[in-house]
Amino acid sequence: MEEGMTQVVYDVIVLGGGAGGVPAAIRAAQLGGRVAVIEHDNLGGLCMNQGCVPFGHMMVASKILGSLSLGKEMGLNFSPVSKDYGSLIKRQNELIAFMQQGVAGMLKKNNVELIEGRGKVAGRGQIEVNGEALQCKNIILASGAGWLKPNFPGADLEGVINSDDLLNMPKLPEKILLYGRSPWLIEIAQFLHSFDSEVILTTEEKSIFPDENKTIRTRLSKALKDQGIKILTSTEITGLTKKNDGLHAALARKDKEVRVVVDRVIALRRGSPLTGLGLDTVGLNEQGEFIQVDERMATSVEGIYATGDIAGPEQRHYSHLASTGGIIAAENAMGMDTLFDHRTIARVVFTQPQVACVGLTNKDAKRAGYDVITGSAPLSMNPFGMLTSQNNGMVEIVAEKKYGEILGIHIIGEGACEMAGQAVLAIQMEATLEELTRATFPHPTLSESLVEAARECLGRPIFLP
Amino acid sequence: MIEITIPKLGLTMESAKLVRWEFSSGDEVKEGETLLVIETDKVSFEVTAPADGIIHPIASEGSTCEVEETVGYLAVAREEYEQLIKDQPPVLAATPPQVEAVEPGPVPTQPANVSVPAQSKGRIKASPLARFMAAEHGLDLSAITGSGPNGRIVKADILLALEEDMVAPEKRAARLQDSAADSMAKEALESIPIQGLRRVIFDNMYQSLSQSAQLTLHTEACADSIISLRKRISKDGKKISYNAILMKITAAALRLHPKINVSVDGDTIHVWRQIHMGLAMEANDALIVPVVRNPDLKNISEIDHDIVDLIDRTRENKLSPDDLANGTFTLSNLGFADIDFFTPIIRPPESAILGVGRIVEKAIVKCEAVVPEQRIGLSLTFDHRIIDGAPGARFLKTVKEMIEDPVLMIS
Repeated sequence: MEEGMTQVVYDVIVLGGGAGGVPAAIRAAQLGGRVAVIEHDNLGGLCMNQGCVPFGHMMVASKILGSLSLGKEMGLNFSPVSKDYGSLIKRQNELIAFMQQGVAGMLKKNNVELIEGRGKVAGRGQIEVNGEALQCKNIILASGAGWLKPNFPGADLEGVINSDDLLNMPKLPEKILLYGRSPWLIEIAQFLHSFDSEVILTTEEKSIFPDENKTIRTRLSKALKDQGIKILTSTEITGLTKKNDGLHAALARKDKEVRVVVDRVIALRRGSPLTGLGLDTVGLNEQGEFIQVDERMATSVEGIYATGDIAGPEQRHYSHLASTGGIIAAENAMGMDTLFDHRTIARVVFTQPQVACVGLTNKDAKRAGYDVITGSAPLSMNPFGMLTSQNNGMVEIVAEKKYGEILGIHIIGEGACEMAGQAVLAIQMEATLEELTRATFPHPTLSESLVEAARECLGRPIFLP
Repeated sequence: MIEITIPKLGLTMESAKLVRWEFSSGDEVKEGETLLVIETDKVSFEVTAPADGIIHPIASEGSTCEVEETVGYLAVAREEYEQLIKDQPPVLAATPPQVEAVEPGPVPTQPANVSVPAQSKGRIKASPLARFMAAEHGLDLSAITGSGPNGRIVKADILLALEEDMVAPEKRAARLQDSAADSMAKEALESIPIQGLRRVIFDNMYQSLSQSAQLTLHTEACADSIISLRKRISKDGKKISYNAILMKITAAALRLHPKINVSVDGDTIHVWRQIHMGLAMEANDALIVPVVRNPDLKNISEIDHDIVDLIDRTRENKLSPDDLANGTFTLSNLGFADIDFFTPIIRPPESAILGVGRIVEKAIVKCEAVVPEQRIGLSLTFDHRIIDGAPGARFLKTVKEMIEDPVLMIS
């Protein structure tokens, strides 16, 4: 090699500047690594640009509108209520732009090199980007997932859209059929409903949020139905045709056929297109919808790690999981030995009421062989819950009988997603029920119900009738 | 600044075990509050604060301390305490702590140089669940390496330790038994080490039965006289105890039968000049026998006063070893539990013990008629090596007669 041509060898190159890649890069840099992030699109990934942030913003709007009815109960009237979708989108985009700058700033502050372009693996320890080959000791794959074509007849018709397309619409459609099992659809349905669209939420599953505890599922369904959202479960789209007056959908529901005419069909189905990333150059399997990783976030190839949507099935596409996974991947790439704690990944929906589930459901715990005890505390019995009319709210704890190990905490109600953080800590720190009962939570708060549910588990609730 | 020392509780006492501190370093204490509990081979004793102040222990729990040894300090003011902790190394909380506590300082009873990651920063880091599981399985947390953040011991580490425990060949046999059918299971609810007072009782009882030839005789006496005697001498609502009356009677009987008030010492039998009578009582789940001095020379009220004082001090852990020493005979009363007769065990080097049963109304034949009468059971155990059956029986008969007619005491 000629003098002066010595090539830089990165400790870590991260493919993707989203919820998984950015923390991975920063953590690796903190540990003294020379790090680059390759991103061909906006920083922040799906989460910041087309996911958690914009839809979170919409859910905030939805919540404000939802709380008008509570205001009414208290004698506060805001009529007429006007809703300017354009202003909402404007604020949303400003926030996103601000956050993107923040991410760029954080990378810079940590001396992480940002390379714009589409990177791909070009053999072990090698990344190809913009026609250039970069040398590195470790690779962290964090390039996310993409949209897959929904699996119903007529899915390629023009009016069948996903959440990205919805964000690009200047005006909200009036009549929408939402189809799929993603909890994200529930949020979108509620937002559209609060902005006066007529929505029909359909799923092939027996229930929305089908994997969660029955209490949570039924309470959420009831709350949504009470708000006027139409939910069709065990329902399939058997045909979709486009006519002058809109999209005609044929829905099969338990041997009955239902026909509806809508402006748009929103279907969400995501997976990772594994081809095109150069995975074959290192012998990684390009089949399947995601890359398999172990608890260290390591793939089967030494020096290659993966995190985020690329490394898990759709039901595990959560930003918080991607971020933690990214940090674990970076630490292991930099020579540490840390493990991902799978027990505490919260499943959340920011609907009204919010839902947050952490750890094992009742059923899962029994299946895993635990001697299960459960306890619950309805928010309707909680003083702050009464103040805020939390009629559907509930905290439910799944625990193991002998030691009182907390296995799962399931919350529905206002603030559930915030409370989930307490649940995460309790499970991660291996708090026992006894300890939770001894925690003095501030009054009046909804989180007091977490303590009460723990007491109920042990058969000694204080504030339950 | 006041030094807290191990008190000399008796002429024979040389050292004591520091059982526990009731306060941690920096706690404010009031005069008279119990600071620490010590234990000799005979008694446990609560050492109280001589004044108000801030406590700073320097000796650790579980250690053995000489009499007069300084085990801690009492600072008068906060400044003095701050100075104290600079001068004196902080110590203790030796019992495996529930909370993450300070590691015990270097003390003789602790093995040196334990290098365990979870403990390396001065305390054992473990999750609550891990602590609970370890306690349930009797695992020593300090012997477990933690895999959590900063070496924190988590559930997985306990499971691993249990697994290793199972694999250890010496423990496998025991575990196999555990895995037998549930209906056959015999699990210790609690495992209590035989130590301290329990060890003393344990050894004494065994020594007693294995080194002497004990014979027990039973009889019954009419209790009417002592019932009325008790009524006569109890005044101002303060009741004299039956134990005081029975102790007086027994002492008087011993005066008439000196060869019961004896001890074996090698090849010699000592017939004691004095009578010192122990009274068996229960304190803190242990048998303890404080001694009343010269009951033969005291009147019943004086004996009762002595007994009340001993009971109070037993309850308050304030007995001194001297209170337990040099007994020549023992009285044991199980009447409170509706016992009529039993076979009490001699307390060596004493040679006899009188067991007293309840006072209960029974049907007695008198003048060819069945009449009700209050009766009391008496059981005398004596060392048959040195006391023959007949003299033993005669002594018991004297006791019986004096119970039935206390005037005989002055005959």
